[in-house]
Amino acid sequence: MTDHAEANSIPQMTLPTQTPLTDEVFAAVRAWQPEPPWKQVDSIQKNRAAWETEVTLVCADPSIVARLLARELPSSAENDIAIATMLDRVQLLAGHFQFTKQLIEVLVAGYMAPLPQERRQVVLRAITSDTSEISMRANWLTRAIRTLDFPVEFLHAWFLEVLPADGSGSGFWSVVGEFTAAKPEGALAMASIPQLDQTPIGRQLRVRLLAGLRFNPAVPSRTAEELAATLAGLAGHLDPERRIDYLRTYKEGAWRGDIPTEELRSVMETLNRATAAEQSIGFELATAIISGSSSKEHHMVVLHWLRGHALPQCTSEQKLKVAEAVWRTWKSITIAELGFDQVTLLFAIQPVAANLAGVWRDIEHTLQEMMHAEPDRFRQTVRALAQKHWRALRDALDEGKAFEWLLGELGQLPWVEAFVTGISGSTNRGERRLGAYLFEALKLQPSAGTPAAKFDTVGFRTWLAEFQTRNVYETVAAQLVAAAQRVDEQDEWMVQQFQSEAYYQCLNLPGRCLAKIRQPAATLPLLQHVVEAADAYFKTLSDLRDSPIKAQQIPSMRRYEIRKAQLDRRRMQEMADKNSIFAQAISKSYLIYGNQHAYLMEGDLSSPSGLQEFSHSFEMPRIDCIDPEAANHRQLNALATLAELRRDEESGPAEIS
Amino acid sequence: MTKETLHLFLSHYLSALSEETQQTVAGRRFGFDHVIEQLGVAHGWQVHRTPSHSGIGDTLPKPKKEPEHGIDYAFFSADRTALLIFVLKDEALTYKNFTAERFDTDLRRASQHDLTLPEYSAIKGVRVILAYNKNDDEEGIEEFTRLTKTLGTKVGDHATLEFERWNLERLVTEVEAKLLTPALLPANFFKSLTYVCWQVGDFTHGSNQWEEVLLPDWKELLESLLAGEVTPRSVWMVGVTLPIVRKHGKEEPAFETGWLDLAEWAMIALWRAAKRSKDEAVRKAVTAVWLETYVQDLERFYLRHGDDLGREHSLNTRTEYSFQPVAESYLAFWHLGRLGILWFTVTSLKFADTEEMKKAQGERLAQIAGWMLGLVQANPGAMRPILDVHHVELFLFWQTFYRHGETQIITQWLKDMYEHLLVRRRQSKDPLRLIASDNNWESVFEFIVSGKAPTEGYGRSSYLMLMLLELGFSLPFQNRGEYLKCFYEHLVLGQDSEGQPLGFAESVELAGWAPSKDWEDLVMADGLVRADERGVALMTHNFQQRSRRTTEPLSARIEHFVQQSRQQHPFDVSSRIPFSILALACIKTRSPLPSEYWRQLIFSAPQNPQEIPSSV
Repeated sequence: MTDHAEANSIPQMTLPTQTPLTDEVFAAVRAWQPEPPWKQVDSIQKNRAAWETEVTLVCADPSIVARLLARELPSSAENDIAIATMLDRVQLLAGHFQFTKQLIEVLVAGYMAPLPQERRQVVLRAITSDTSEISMRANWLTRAIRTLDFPVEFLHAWFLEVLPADGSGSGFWSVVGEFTAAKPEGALAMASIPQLDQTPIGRQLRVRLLAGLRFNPAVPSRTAEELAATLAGLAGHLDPERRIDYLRTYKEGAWRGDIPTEELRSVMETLNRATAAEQSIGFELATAIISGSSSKEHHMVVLHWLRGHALPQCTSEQKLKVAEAVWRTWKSITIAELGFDQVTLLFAIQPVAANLAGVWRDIEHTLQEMMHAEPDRFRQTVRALAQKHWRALRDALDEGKAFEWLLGELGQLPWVEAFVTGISGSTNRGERRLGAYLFEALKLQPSAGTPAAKFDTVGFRTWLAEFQTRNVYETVAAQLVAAAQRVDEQDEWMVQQFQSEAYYQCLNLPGRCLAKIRQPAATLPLLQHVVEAADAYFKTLSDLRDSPIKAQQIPSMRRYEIRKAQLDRRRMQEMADKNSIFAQAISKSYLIYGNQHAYLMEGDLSSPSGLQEFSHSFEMPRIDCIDPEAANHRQLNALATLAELRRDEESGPAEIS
Repeated sequence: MTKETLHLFLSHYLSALSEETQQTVAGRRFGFDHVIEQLGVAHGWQVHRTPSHSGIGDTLPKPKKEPEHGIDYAFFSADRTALLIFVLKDEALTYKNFTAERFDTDLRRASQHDLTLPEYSAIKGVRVILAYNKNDDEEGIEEFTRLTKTLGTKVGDHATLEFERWNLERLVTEVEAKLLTPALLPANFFKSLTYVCWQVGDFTHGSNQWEEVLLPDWKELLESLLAGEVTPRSVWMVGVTLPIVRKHGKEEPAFETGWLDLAEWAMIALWRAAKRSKDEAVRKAVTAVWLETYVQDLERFYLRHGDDLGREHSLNTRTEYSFQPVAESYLAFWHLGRLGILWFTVTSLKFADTEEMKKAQGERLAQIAGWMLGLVQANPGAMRPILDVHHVELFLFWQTFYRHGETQIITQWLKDMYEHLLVRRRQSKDPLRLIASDNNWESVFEFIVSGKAPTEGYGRSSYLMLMLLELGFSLPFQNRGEYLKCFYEHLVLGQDSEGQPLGFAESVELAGWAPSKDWEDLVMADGLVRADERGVALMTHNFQQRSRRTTEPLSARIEHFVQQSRQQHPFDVSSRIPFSILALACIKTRSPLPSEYWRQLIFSAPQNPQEIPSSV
């Protein structure tokens, strides 16, 4: 039997005129052809306000409900599955609004009320038989579960059947919650069923039942005593899994902020002495408290607990929870209130692997908000992060996606140049590296005359080696100009090294470096010499452009250059086709004649239009082509210098206390 | 080539010619009659009488079977008012020859030309020119003067009569002025030389046309000029061909090196001919052409441009970036090889044993070495051997400074070379990480384009690296050990100082080579069989031994290998061909140089067989 036939099998009656929209909904359900009557759907859903008002009226008037039930859902109906299908259609036609759900809830409860216990159970099972709709249909059942009686054994079995099918949805957990709230004795009885221990879902059900009971003030005193005994049994159970279940019962209350502060503190203290598995519940509890509606006091209890447990060896999940806790509280709880800076928790969980995008995203959110709200604290935090955990930070930055948003906004801030220049000259390696990174990433262009501290020897060696290993491209000129102001001109070695590097860069990138440092060099004697030498170099090359020493052609090379260009074009085309959604979506035409094109579309020939050319060029680093060995060697030497400096640093006194 | 040299070559060439060009039973005979005819044409005269019928194609002219009446060639002047009669003699003008070789008779008969024929109706004067391509002496000239005075000043009643004497000097001057063209050579070479001249005027050095059209034609022409029994005349013929070709060169900077390229092939052809001939005169002529053309022009080229090689990145070219390192290496090694050859040639010249000459020679050598050093220091391409056969140029550099006693330079150079090669080998995606063992540029380019080695064995064996390792033995003792250790452990075995692998994409085996007995002929022949396709490959297994010699120091293992190689495959470096030419032939034919050239300078003479321990 088709859905259509099933719907039509329901007897039709005339409705009172004071519920016109409800009438229309049910009329539309009856008129359901293989396809829904879309026009009616539109008209009902556009009348949302009137519909809401009408539903409120209907639900408040038992007589209307009774009439509706009598007409649309007579209890004589034998086909409960067809009823479920009809209610699905009502939901669809009337829209997924809270009040639509309320109407259906009332109808379902009203429908089931007069039924004998066996039939009620059949109806419940019928409604939940279609597991694909289970989450939505769970919403229809809360009133029935709350107001009607069902044997605990039946509900226990039914919950265990339905809950696994609920999957990621949480519809049925709310049914469990309603049951617990409305029937505390039944809930406690269900929680005491020993079979619940046999499956994870059974244990989860018990936790939910107990959690619902322990923070429910309406629990009768006798039940409360039994409940306390049950909880105590779990808390002191020899099996750690049972103890974990006990701890999990707090999560529900934590979410709602129901746990008394002292009790929370006590639980968290208990966790300090617990197993690692039990402690992991602490992180769950922390997230629940901080992302729920708990008080500031609760948050502070959690942050203090995290202070002792946020460690480098935390799992990625735990690190995520710490990062989230910091993000949610850094602004609402001050350092003075807390007694320490919760941002330090972000350092405590380092190193965070670059692929833990969630953790880095929360860190980015924290820093991004802080950057605008408390710039000083932001700068301090970033510097500390770079000082202590540069490698992790670098990996995350190199990963490409982390901090994109943050960097985009940071580049617009007025103090960024001074900040980056400042940390570039730091005595700390991590800060210097972050400075070098930000220089390039933010494409900063500081002008000559920016005041800066002079390099010491170690600082200069590190700057130089890092500059050489980073293959600075966009901001090469700016970085040299900034560094030129920090070179100690009394130090002959430093001057020579700097000029040699600047000369190399001028030769390597005449467009990006030489052309751009020419103007600042007028006021920077160190660079002036470099510019003069580089100009002389290019003048010589220009004079020698047609020199007989290199005028001869290289046999066969031209042929291969052409072949390579063809291959490169093909590879680029293939890559573009592969990576471009646009190229994949449109059909391709290959022109053979003509310099304009027209196309036939749906029988009409378009007017001719011209061909568009596009090209992109960038400056190739010259020395990489002229002397790749030296370029490579230079980089290897720089890496060796950095390694040597690192060894010295590790063997010497720590730079940052 | 200077004007004086050209004058000298023309003089040698013209004097070596016979009177008449003809095919004889003994072979081809080239005469200067052809030169006279072409000079006449060059003067704008019209040929009236020739002594022979023109040859067809490559065949030589055939003599006419009719009375000459003392006349070899006769021309009308351009306005047809004068008749120019040439009396040719390939004899010296001496008193004795004047009668014995019929100078007098022929002059007399030529002066009595019958002008009554209608074709001479406009003739107002007759010039009888005695042309001879050998020496003369005062008595011979006196006889000529005396005779011509007695023959009067008129022919018939109206025409004036004049006598001229074109001796060798006059002939040379006339050729210099009018005939530095393909027409100077005998008619059977005219077409080939004309075609070569057209090509050098059109093609650029190194272009595909240069390599694939011009060079084969040029080599073929050289072969035909030197075909058959080699005589001084054929050597001088090549000698005068060179300036003709050069004169036609394309007016562009690339022709400067293009000219040297052509001259190099000519030198190899000449020395090959000299080796074939037993005639000492031929060898002297070849030596003269070699020194006066190629060596002189090479030195002049570097006097003009040598300093430019020392300017930073002076060999930088505008090339597609992936080819740039190769292009600059190609150019750098081109110059390195030529400078090495020039240095060795100058060092082997025997000057008069005066202090002044010795000093001048020393200065020349220092200057050439300076250019080499400048090139290596200013152009990274010179530290980037691409082909295995680049060991020849590296050897020439090393030899220059080794013989100068510049151990500091050699030490630094070997260290830098090792570092450059090491950096290259560590680039596991770079086609230049391997040295092309097939010595083929196309393979290198193919590798760059496709990213795949052209063959499985490409670059997997290296004679060049073995040479560099052996050159380490030329270092002072205090530097040697470290160099050998670093080179061997890092570059050959691919391990770092802790013995951990450096992650090279491939292993490379050091490979020795003992040439075959006919190496010299093969390398000079540029023939179908390449010199490196003969001989014995001496694979070293990178000196790794599992037997008792495992603990033997590396230097001892290498020396042991060298000793055995030299003992089992002795090679005599003495030759009738100068080493510069052999090295040039190696460079041009991309053939390896026998190890003995450096081993004789570094290692002691090989021990007797019984003193050498058996191989393990």
